[in-house]
Amino acid sequence: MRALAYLQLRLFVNSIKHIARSPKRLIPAILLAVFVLPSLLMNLAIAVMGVPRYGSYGHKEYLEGLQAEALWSGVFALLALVVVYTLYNALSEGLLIFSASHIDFVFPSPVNRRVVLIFKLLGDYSKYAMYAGFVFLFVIPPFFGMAGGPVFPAALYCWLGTVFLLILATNVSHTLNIATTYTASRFSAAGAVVRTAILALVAATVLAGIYHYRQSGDALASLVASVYAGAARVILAPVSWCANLIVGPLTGQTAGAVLLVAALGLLAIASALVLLARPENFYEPSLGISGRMARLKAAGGNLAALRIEAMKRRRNASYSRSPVPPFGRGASALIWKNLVTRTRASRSTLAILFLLPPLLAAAVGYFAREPEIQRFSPFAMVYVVWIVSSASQQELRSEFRQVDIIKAIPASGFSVVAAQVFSQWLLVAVLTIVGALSVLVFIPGADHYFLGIATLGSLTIGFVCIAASSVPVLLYPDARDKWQLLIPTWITMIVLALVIGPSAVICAVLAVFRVNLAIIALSLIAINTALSWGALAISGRLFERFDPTAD
Amino acid sequence: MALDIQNLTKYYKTTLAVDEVSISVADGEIVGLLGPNGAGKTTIMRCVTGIVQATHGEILVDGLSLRKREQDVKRRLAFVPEVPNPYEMLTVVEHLRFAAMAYDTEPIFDSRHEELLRRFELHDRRNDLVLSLSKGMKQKLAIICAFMHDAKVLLFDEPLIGIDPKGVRELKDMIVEARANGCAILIGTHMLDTAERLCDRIVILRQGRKIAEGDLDDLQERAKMGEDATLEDVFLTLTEVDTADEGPGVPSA
Ligand SMILES: Nc1ncnc2c1ncn2[C@@H]1O[C@H](COP(=O)(O)OP(=O)(O)O)[C@@H](O)[C@H]1O
Ligand SMILES: [Mg+2]
Repeated sequence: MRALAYLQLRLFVNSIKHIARSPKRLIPAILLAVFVLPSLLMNLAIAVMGVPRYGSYGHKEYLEGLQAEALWSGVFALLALVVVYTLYNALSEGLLIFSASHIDFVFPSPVNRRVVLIFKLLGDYSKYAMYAGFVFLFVIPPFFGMAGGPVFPAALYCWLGTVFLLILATNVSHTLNIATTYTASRFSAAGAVVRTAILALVAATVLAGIYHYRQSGDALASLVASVYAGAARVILAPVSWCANLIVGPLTGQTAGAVLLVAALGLLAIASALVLLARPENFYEPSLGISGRMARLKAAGGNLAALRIEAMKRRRNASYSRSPVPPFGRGASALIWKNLVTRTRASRSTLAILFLLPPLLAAAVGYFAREPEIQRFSPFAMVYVVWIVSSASQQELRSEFRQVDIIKAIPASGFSVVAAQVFSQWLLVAVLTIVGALSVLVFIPGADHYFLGIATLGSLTIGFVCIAASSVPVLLYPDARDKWQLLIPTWITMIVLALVIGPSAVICAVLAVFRVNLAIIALSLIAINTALSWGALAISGRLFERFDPTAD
Repeated sequence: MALDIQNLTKYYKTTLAVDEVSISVADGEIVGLLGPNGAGKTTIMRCVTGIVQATHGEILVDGLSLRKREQDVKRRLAFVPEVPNPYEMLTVVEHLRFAAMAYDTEPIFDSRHEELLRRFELHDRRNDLVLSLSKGMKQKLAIICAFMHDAKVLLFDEPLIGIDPKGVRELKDMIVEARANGCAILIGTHMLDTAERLCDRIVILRQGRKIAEGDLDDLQERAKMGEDATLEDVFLTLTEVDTADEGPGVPSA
């Protein structure tokens, strides 16, 4: 017990020190605090003191037009999704995974296995408490105030209830997991049955909703109907209690909240006791998974390595012929190499690339019949592309880690970085074009002028975003260091928000005046070329003195 | 017998990794566990240290059953894993202190860790984060951790790979010292020359089965080879997969 407490404490203190000692890590951490803390404090103040300006509004006025039932159903559906997903995962291998260090230094030691489990669970529980605390103590309470209800105990009850619900779901799924993984095979068969039952329940609920929608054509009402109709509400009673706790303060029904919290708390404790009473040795799944993770971490902890791991497991795959004929000299040969590896290693990603946009467009075309939504739908493309571009940071990181190869290429840093960015961008370009075609085919109400702008915007914004995210990647290249993964993610978020500014302004202003598409295209290309060139110049310089193994 | 492994069988899901293997190591004896990659050496060590649960079979340490007295058994064991992953965010000294706490041996911590750090030339890195150590240094750290308590049974999984010559010499000395102090030692390895010089007895595994056991003379005899055959010759002859699928079976003593 004492040993593990000491371990956790030292790990925590040392990682704080580790940040504090290096300006490269400290400055972004401080910046983040400066950005986030004031808004948190403000929300907390609102939560504690109430909302004076809106205080005179009663909850009835606030809720006018907002259906209480729909609200409840939405909250319930969201929570139920989280809980069902947790339970579903319980039946797969590797729910309870310990670090490679734990395998080597705690598992063989005489530290009691239950103590090891308790520490692991406490770590998870405190994460839930933090996340839920963020939502229920900082983000949501102002709404309670606006609804005219009491803010303070209500927010606390919501937080406790949600944390207890999450703890309950975790405990139940760990118990199921341990019982089905380590005992006789008839229990494993039981696992398959439970899994099927969960899938059936979800399918039934979704079908009920779709059926109602076909009958009524009202999406919100269908959500309510599916939630109320399904057995979901009975089976997931604790979820519905939690939904009551959250929606209560908005609708003015807060009686009995303490009881609901107490019931959830009791269930959480009881489930923890059941879990701790399991006698099985639950260490084994960590071996396969953490071993893989350790190798992944060594490889830079990225998606490419994950895919290659997956390929290794796919035994008899043969990859003799290259799907892309060779081209390129110097840095541009990198583009060919990237194309080859991508078409080989990430077939499922490519499949998603071609399938997801038509599916989404078809869903919008079918379900979202409001003309305004259809008209403006092309702009959703820009958003998707923006998200995808910010995710490319991980891929860039993995590419740059193959430093032995790319550093040896006789080309300037600028062209190497440009080639890497270009290869990433090709993906975005394909996504954009597939997306544009899907919108054209499946969303009849889409404004074609907007579609043109969105397509051009996606293409140029995609490039500038990827180019910009190469800068933080090269500034913080060491993937073995958790902070070197986190900090560039924050920086990328900020940089990407800045870098799309000019494009957003151009699109908005010119679109209002319905300026000719060619002019918009030219201005987008001009401004984003300039921005990308700047970003590539910076990261080219960084690349030239780049050493991913040094700190 | 300090360590007694009886009819150990281990399946990972459906993969048979160890098949009815019995090994015993007496007090003051060094036994080498030899076998090609995937023979099951690591798996046997993991079963003994309780990292994985044996599918069936019995493991006894000092006559205590691992199944029934897990914590008492583990207290008597020390284990150095194949490629150790120490906690990167601890300093070297903190890591050793944690090991001492886990095995409840803090009273001897101060004298013990100083001496071991000096022997393995990690003394000037004692306050550095493990993050900054090289691979070989991390391995040395794991070895020192194993010696932070007085174990009855020492288990080493490929201990000599990756450490420098001075470290190898120290480790060999310490293994021999431990033998003199009456410890039972099991070393999994495929470094045959080391095994030949260091071990009192050798167990050869192939595809999860024990195919031969004894000192070099016994093994030469079993491989039907002459006196001048080295362990390498014997090993390669015995582990050669000639009878493709049909395993060789445990020798009838
Ligand atoms: N975590 C695991 N999951 C599934 N199979 C494993 C696992 N670890 C080892 N194996 C398999 O068990 C067998 C023995 O492996 P191992 O004990 O590591 O051999 P050695 O240490 O002698 O090289 C191998 O066939 C290996 O593939
Ligand atoms: Mg091994």
